[in-house]
Amino acid sequence: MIAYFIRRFFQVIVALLLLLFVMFLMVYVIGDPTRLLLPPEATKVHVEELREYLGLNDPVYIQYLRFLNGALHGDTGQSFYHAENALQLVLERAGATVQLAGTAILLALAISIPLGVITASRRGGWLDRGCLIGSLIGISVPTFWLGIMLILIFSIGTGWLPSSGRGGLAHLVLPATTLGLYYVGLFLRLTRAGMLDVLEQDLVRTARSKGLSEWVVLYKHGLRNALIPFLTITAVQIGEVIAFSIVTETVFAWPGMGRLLLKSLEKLDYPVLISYVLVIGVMFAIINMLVDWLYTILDPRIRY
Amino acid sequence: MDNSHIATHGMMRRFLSQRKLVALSLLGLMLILFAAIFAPLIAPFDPMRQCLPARLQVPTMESDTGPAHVLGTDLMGRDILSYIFYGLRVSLVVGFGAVLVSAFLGMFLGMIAGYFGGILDTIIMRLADVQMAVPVIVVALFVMAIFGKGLGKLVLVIGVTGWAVYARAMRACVLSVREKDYIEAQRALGTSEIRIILRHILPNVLTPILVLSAVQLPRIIMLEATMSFLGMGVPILTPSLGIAIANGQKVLYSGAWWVSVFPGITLAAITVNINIVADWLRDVLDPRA
Repeated sequence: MIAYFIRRFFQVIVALLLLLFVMFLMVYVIGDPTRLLLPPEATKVHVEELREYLGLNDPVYIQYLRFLNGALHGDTGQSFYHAENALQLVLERAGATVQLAGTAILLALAISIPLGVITASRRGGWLDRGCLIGSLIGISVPTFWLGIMLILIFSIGTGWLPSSGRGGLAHLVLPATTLGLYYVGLFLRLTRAGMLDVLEQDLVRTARSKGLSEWVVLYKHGLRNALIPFLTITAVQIGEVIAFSIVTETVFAWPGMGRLLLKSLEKLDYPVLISYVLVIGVMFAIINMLVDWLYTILDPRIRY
Repeated sequence: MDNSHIATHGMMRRFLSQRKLVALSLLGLMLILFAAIFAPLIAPFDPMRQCLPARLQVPTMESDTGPAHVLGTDLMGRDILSYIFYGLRVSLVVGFGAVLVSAFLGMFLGMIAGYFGGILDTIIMRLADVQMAVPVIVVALFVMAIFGKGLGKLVLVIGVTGWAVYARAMRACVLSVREKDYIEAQRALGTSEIRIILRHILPNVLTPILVLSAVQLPRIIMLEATMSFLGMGVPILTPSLGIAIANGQKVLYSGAWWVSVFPGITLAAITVNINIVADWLRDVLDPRA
């Protein structure tokens, strides 16, 4: 088990190094930040001065080594626009994104898993059909538009909830609902399909024949087994949620790293872009390791 | 995101046995297609013509001069209905274009991986794993930011980054038919590899690819709208539903709800209808279901 995680750890390091290399190629070799940083009327002398200052005149491998050395020390360079360390800048905003994405995921799980179990156990009933249509709409409605509609109804129309910024719990309601709704639809479908598979298996019949209550059969024996394939997909989805929080953060002016990313993309603020990818990469790696660990808890037969 | 098709198989069957919903969706899609193709003929206004005196007009059936602004106008006085007709074109062009690019690229690579196996297989499938681990929207945002906005670029970026699911499906299909007797027989007859692939393997794998394309299409259309909404998709003067919704958000507080509501409903109508038809196609065509 520990050997497995050590191996995984090294795989993650290799993947991150690769990621850094690709990022470096993309932004330092393909793009040229000087044309964005300076006004169009800037003279050649100014451009040269800036290139010298940013170190863009050095050979590519020197730039790469400098970049790598910095990144390994947690320094991905200074933001071109904010007079601040880029990694620092991203990490400051990561908390807001994690809060938003985490709430959205928890909300989606809390709604979709019980509903998935109930609809699977009462297949074809009115609740099943209702959820079926609901989940279809949930995965079909564009996230950003849903956010705008929620603002229209709950902020502008009724004035119940704030429409932008980060503050108390009230600020979290609309963004988390917006981000989570797609996943309610998706997880509902997945849980239901997984439960339908498990309910046909012998273990459920055995549990029933032992005289266990329906509740225990469904949630303890059924759900536990249905969750294993579900978990794999959820792990991938968490990455998607963090990526798609870019959209939700834009709609609700949520001060997370997604919004920072979008602004930095518009200005090609390379150090910030690289830091974002680095932070996201580490997050993905941690999530995947956590999921691997969760497997061993859900299914004791799984050993690494 | 790409896994929902596994889980939903058969889920719609009971519901769809009535076939009414599918028929309705197909009708809806035909209307959408019609509106997109004949946009220049049926649009009451030039979608990009700005008319500042007519800005932010409430949806109305009445008009003193010429056609009415049935769905109102936006901040620039552009007719929302006409804009939507033209926006549909962008949605469908990017949707079908990107799906075609992904499908061809994925089928080609999946075919190579499955048919020839070995080191090629390992490399291609590892690449597919990596591609599927990275959210498409992040890659697309980076590429569009660096290379600039554009309709063609958007199709290419979304298309190229979407190859992995097709490659996986293609490889699995090829592996399952590769060792069949009739393929062996062709080999014994001395048929060339290319001919075996094109004449005898390809027809057997087209159905799953078709189903996969139908499942992917609404996601791609939504991705285009999302990218354009974020200002990283098509150029600002190309009519896109995503841009329309972004414009709508800007005037939300002045009470002009119609600017964002109608393009959004249109977008949701496209994706809901395609999702329903895709679910149905999967149930009917997919042999696993």
